[in-house]
Amino acid sequence: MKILVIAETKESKLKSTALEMISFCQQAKIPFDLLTLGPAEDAHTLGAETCIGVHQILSARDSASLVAQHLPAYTLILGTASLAGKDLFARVSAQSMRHLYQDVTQLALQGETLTITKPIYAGKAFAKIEVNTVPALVTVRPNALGVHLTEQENTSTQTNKSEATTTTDREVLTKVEQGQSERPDLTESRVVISGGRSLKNSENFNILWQLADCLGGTVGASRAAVDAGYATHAMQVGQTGKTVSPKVYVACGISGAIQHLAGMKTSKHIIAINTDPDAPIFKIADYGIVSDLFELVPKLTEKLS
Amino acid sequence: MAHLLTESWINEFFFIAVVLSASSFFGFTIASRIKSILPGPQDNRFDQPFKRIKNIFKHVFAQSKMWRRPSIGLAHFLIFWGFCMVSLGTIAFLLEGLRFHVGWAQNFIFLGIQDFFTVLVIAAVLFAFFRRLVLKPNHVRLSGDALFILGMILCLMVTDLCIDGASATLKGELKSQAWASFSLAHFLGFPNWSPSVLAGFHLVNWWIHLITVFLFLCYLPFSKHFHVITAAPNIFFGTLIPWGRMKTLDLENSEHFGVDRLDQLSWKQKLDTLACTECGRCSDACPATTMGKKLDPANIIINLRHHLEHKDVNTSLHGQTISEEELWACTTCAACMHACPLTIEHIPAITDMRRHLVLMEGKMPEEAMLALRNLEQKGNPWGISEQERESWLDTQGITPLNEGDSVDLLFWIGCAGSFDDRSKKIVLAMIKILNHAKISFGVIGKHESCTGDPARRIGNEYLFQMLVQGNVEALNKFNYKKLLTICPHCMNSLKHEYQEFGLYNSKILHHSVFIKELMDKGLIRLKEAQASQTVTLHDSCYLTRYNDIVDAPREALKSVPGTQLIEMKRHGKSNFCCGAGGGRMWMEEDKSARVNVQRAEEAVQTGAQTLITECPFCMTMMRDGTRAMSEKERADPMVVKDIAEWVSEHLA
Repeated sequence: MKILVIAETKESKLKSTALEMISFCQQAKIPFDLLTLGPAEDAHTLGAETCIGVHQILSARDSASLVAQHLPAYTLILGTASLAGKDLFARVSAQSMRHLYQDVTQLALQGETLTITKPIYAGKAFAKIEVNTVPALVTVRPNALGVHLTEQENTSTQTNKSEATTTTDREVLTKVEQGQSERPDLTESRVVISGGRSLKNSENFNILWQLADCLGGTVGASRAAVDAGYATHAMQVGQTGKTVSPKVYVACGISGAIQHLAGMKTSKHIIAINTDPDAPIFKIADYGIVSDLFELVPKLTEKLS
Repeated sequence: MAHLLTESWINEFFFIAVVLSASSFFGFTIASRIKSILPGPQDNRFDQPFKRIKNIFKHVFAQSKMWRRPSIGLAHFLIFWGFCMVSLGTIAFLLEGLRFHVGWAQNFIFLGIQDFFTVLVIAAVLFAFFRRLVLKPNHVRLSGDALFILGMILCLMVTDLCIDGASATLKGELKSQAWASFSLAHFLGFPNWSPSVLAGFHLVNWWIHLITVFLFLCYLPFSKHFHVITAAPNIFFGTLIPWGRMKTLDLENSEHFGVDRLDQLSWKQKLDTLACTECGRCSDACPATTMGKKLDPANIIINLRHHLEHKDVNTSLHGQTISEEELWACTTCAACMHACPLTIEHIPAITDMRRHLVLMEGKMPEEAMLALRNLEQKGNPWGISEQERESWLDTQGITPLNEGDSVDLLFWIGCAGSFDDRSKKIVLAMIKILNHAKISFGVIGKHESCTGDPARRIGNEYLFQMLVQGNVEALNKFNYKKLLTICPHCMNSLKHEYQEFGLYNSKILHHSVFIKELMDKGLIRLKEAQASQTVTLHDSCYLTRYNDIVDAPREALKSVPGTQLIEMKRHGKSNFCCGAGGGRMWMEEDKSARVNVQRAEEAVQTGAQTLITECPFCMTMMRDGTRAMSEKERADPMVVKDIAEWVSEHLA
């Protein structure tokens, strides 16, 4: 049994989603190879037998051809259920005519049998599926596996593949421009601290940023706050903004209009801070704190840091 | 218009040559225009002929829509009727050129009336020049085309008077009944001119007049003034179907959905483009144009015409001719259609093109995609579990009906009423009124799902039909006499679009109308007035323009003791949209200033204490708008309430 991990990278580093899959392989003690789509300086220290590093940026179609070429040597191909990952795996599946399991939330290996858990009927239920096709294509939802890395000796051999340099694609990807933020993407972050109109101005958002930085998270905003110019549209969480599902969502001074709830109701733990005890946000919050966020949030940051 | 028949055969030869070549050129142009609009899907516009003729009287002869702007309405009315009268003269002029004797044209009463209208037309044309060159109203596009046409009309009228004056003087029949030409002749001193000079003057004017008549005729089809010819047929063929009923697509047997190319627009939709006279009334009324977005309904129609005239029929309309940004900016509020004096149908053209984007190319704003996915999976645009429709009702002690139950009044709660906390209060207020009036009612709980209005207006006909089938099946399981809803969008769809899919009973009432009915029946007792309270009413487009509901909510409000209604400048059928219609509720509005903020400003300007809405989505938009305004002005936001809440708060 051998696994191929398709790793996404960001700024020459593996993304945390890749580290999650690597820790899974390490814990299950299964040999694995790493295919990094983009440069990754830290890839070869993680115990992969071979690192296939593709240093140029490939289009989804070219990446798919590359993965499809390597496919026969493995029993399981793991990837991330991100937008790019789902796109890539759908293409690989179509090109290689293999079964595909997207958006998997749990992976279990017992001997040679692989059991996966994935949401069905738009999240109304979870299906446990025993996978008995080889190779299986699986994309894992971010934050589902968790990172438990053990440092490995530098054993892997880095090979640079160049098969995909000649492209037949009509679209050629030349550059990916990252947003300026060094913090995690809003949609991938494990922790999101969101602020509403009651923050009163954009400077006050700093107290949310301080808490977010201390928890390794990022900051979102309600539409009202964006409308009022306190936050950028890229930070907007809700029906017409970003849909997020972090492990922890902290809603500060957000009343919880339905348009906002639609964008964050799938968060694992929702913590609401609001001065109005009747705010609808408390109805869906796991923990509610009736308090002034200007007092509470800095205190929280102080305690946690 | 008497004309001095010259003996010269050369004159006659040229006359016939001009008439023949100009008429055949005109005929050829018209024929090719008709040919260019014919290919396309079937669109029967020959039904209900009497209603159509009535519309001709209303919109052509009486020019009802033009009078909304009284001064330009009067000018246009005079030009129109003057032109008709003068045209009789022109016919006589041509017949006489062909040596027919036209007795009535020599009649002095006729000449007097002719003169009267000629002068009126001159006055109206001068006013039009003044308006375009000096007043320059916002919506009027200054074009050489318009000035050229006005110039030609002026030339026709002036030469006409000169011809009449000169010819009457030559014949020695200068009489005061033809007062305008009579005065002109005297003013210019014709009787003192030598006959040969006067004859020459007459001949020159006669030819200028003749050539201008035909130049005008031949130029028409190439200019926006083609509406002189296309307006009447366009009004005759105007839609008689309720605006709120979109054309149903045959999903089983069609190969293509929506409009990508011109031959997918019906002949009437193409006739619309030839009828547009670029008056800009639609642009003026359009919320998107007003807020400075790329969409301008007039441009949609004008660009379609350019495409029709200059591009191959097989080229796509999307991209160069019509951009996606324009299509997605439309709130389907139908202010454009209401404003258009020529009954052009902008909205169906826009939604048909959206259908192509969504159903054929899968192109739409990302947020719209999310709303559609939620509709598909959960039956509501927010993607909340269907179970919650009932669990909320349960907390209010309302048990849904069982299948097969009979009830007089079925209360269709709708998605907003079921899931949105603010809208739930509207439902509760309505229930309080029903209980007060001792009206028994039933709800169907989780059998409801979205009526599909946003899906259909965004362009996803497939999803719409799926939702309709589910709802029709559900509703047909219950026996009810009337349906009641707090949402104008639910109402519009259920009323106009569901019968086609097999809904047995689509007698559906909006709550504002129902409240008015209850008041009329004396079932509602209201508190005595304590103090005078001022309110202003934000109309819902889907009530006013789509369903003709203007007076009922006003009368209901006025019946509440102490309530004083202050109207906004744009109200009733001319109301300004809140910005949420046509699926815009589910899309981000980041291209310009927001429609709802503009509307909230108008509401605040009335000085009224409370803003009344009739639709849960208007409510959301107006609440956001008034809050954004209060942010700016550092004041408490204006209070926004639904009409049901207003009435229920004043129950005795």
